[in-house]
Amino acid sequence: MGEGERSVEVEWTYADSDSVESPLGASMQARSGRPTPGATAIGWTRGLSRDLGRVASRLLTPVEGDQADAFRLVYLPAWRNPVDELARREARILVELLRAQRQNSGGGRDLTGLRARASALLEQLTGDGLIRAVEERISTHLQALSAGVSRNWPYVRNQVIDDTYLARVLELMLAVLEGREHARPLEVSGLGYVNLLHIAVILAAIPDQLIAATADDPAEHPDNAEGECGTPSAESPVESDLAEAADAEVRLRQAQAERESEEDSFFPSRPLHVTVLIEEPEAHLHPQLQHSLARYLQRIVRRRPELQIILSSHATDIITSCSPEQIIVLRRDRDGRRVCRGIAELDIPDRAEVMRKTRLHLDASRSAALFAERLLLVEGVTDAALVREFGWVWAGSDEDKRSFVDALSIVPMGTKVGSWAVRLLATRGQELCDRLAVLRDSDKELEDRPTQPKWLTDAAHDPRVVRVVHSHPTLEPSITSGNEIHIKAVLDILRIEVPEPLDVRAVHELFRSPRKATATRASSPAGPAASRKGEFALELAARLAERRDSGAADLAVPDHLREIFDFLYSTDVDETPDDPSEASAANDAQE
Amino acid sequence: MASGTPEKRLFIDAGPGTGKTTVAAQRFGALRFSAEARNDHRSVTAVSFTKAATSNLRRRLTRIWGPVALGWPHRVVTLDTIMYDLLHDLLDAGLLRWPTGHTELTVVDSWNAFSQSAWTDASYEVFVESGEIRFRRITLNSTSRVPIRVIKEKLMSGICTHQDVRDALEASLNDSSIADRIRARWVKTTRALIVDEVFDANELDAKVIELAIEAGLSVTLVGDPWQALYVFRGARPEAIRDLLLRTGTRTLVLNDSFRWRDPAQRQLASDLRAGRAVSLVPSDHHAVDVVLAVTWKQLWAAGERILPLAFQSFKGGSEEAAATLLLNHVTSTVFGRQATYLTEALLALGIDDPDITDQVYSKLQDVLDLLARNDKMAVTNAYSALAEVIKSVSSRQLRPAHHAHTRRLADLASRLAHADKPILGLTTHQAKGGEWDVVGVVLSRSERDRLLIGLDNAEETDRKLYVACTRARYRTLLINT
Repeated sequence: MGEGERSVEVEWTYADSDSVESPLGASMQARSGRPTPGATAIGWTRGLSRDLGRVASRLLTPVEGDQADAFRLVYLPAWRNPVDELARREARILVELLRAQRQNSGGGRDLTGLRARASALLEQLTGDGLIRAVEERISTHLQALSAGVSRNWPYVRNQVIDDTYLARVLELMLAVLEGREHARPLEVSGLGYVNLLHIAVILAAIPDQLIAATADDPAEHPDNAEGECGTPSAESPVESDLAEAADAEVRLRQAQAERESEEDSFFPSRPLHVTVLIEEPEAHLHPQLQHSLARYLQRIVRRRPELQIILSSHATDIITSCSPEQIIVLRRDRDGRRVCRGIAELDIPDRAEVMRKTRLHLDASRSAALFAERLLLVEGVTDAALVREFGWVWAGSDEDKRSFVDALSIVPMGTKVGSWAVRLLATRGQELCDRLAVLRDSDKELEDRPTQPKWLTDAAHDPRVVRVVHSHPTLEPSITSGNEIHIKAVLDILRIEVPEPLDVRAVHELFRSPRKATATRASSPAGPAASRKGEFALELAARLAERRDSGAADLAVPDHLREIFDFLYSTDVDETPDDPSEASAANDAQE
Repeated sequence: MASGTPEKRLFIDAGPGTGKTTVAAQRFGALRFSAEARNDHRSVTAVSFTKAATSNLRRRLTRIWGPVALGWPHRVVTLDTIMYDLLHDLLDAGLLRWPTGHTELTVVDSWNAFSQSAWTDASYEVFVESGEIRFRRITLNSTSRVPIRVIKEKLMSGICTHQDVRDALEASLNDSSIADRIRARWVKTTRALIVDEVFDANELDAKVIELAIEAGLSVTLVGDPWQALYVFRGARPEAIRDLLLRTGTRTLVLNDSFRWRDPAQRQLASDLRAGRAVSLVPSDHHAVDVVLAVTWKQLWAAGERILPLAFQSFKGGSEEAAATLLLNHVTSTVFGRQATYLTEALLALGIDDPDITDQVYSKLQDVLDLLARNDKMAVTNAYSALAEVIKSVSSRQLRPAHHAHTRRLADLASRLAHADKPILGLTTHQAKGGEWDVVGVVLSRSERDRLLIGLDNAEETDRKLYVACTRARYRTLLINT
């Protein structure tokens, strides 16, 4: 909880158009007399306080017109135990399911019919001769014992059949093959599938108001003649009076049953909004199932406007199944404050373009970038492999630095790292991470100096957060100095002729890409080993890994890579911290 | 049967002791949880005329059906609330306009909360001219009123009284587009309407109820034509009788009364209702639990053992309000009941702290002690002491002692002087809805004559007598005066 007051503000808005409005929104707008699509319908604040080690919440602002009841939160916490929740005896979830089904079919929420059938079955059972005989035997004894004062009679009969009884005798099971005979208790079913079953059951237990509104249950009310009270002429007035009184009596009883089931149910029969919050929906799930779960939930929400589903997840497969606009990143900023940034609301330059690229490129590996506080963007997978090797050398024997390199998110972007990823992750004031380094090739002539990209301005990106570092002119030549032996060894393995002398220029010539002629220079052909760059990097990484394991650290870390690691690892937050707590807060943020 | 029937236009004729509120509450639940309306998310609304009656009905309803019965959008409200809802909707839709363009108004019970009243003939009225709500100054008989400039300022900032809301609606109902809008509003928001004590309805109430019937809502009216007492407030029992006929509303009569514990009292009640002549057994007042009369004045005149809960129907003066505060002190102590017009008195004194009666408890007791001395100056001294008490809690000032201002204290002093425990005195209005074992009634000569002829429920006096004579479980006695 932390210190001080905590509160949660909730706001609920009408849909932008009537066609996708939920029954609750429609009925509230009807009541207000004026349709106001998109407007904020209602809002409230809940205060949070400690309560014996748990968090208690209470309404701080009154909700207009007693509306709080219409908003239901279904929370599946990360520590949920699906097996327990679904299989536990007397679990009310099954009863809720049955009621929702009943309501979906237009039959209210009353389970009288089902209870009556269960009752009849049991009644048959208790008619069995064995039970009768037992009753009789006890009876003789009890008569002798009680008749002196007031005779009592013993019966072995069925229990009172209420809704919880149904939950007690029925059980959810799971089968991997179709057919009821294959059903197995949940305790011995796959955890991932039980998790899915749990989510499926929760969704099924929320009554579908659109279906209920269109369904009709003729069996439930044989007399559809509401408003008509004509008395059949054949009957005498007395008889019809009696019939009418009996009918009224039935209606009262029916209303009473309706009330009981409504009072008993988690979901009221009125129009409502349900927020389902699922923490770590990916628990025990195969990646493919993670994708399909996230996509299915999105589909269901589109179809049922009264539902809102919030997932909290660290799973890249869940993230990539969502569009970026649906993602909200929760983190701490430099000052240790909790921030929560909706990607849809980020105020960043070239927004439309950044969003388009994000939608296109945010796949499972790239979306890892959303979970890292400190990360490095590189061009390709080979860069990623090599850079981490140099990282371990940079770390030396410092345990903290070694674990830092172990955990560092190095995200290969597949192409030269352009502006969109940096804009998305680290626009000034809208940061989704703490430090972001970019490693890219300068692709300039060897004689030229690398220059910073035009989009990297201090106005758009805080230099304390973003650093762009160049491999000049590309990765291979930039790591040559001091590592000539390793490069020669790898070239030998790959049977590439080793240039003489083996220096930065020679390596550059060896691997350079072909260039077309421009106004200022002639065209140049591809280097003899240009097509084997990838092979080279992988082989080099393999050699370095092997030597690392054998403890022979004779690798030189090039300056630009050292700069990256120093920048990313650095813990000094600010030159002039104005708040002494900042430094420690920034440390917290790393945790 | 009355509560369970699917009849869409129903009048439940509920005589004394037939459990009117219970039937209304049962009916509410039956409609609220009716199987046919499962997917009809419009509201079931019950209305009554006073806040006390609505909270009474709400309590009964929750006791029978549980709090879930009143979950949004279902509700029990006063007709004033309905009227404001309708006006708000009309303002919102642009069919009516408030002079300052407000669409949300703050509606208060009375202007008294804003200012001290002054003796004036300046008043105002509401009228509507092609959709514009306007106010104009008028001159009425001089009486104690809140100054017109205070009212004007409030009206212009979107504050008005329930009466203004009603006047504005009444003035615009003849416009067919407004009637259409109200019908449409009924259909959109409400599926069933239950009106409790329907015979307290005035012309406007009756019209709005009729619009609901025309709009096809399930409408249940509950009431007793014999107990319509609020003609002085504009109630029009005959308008309801016409409405029942015009709309072809079916009547169900509740015959079983749970009140009568004695055959004579049962006979009395049925004789009265049938219009047969009756005469009451005369008695002294020592054997009764309560004494009833048509007016407060009759009660004060009927004997010094009778302590009425009010001096007169409340007019609004500060001296009257102060005396009411003192009377309340006595009645709370003796009967555990508030003086009838305590709320109005606090309002007239501009006091909005409801706990004020506790805060001045001991000071009021001192005033009573002065009054109880019963010497020549007792009343005058007590009056001055009371003025001091009021000064400490209110900005209003009492005028100097004068018979017109002190006579209430004199009346009270005569009750304090009496040795025996006082007997509760109530007007028939205040007694409505209540029941006691033995009831004494104070009757004028002409009222006694009415009983001897036989009552007619079209006559207001007769209805008051009927109510007075049907409050007892065992006996109704005539108090000798």
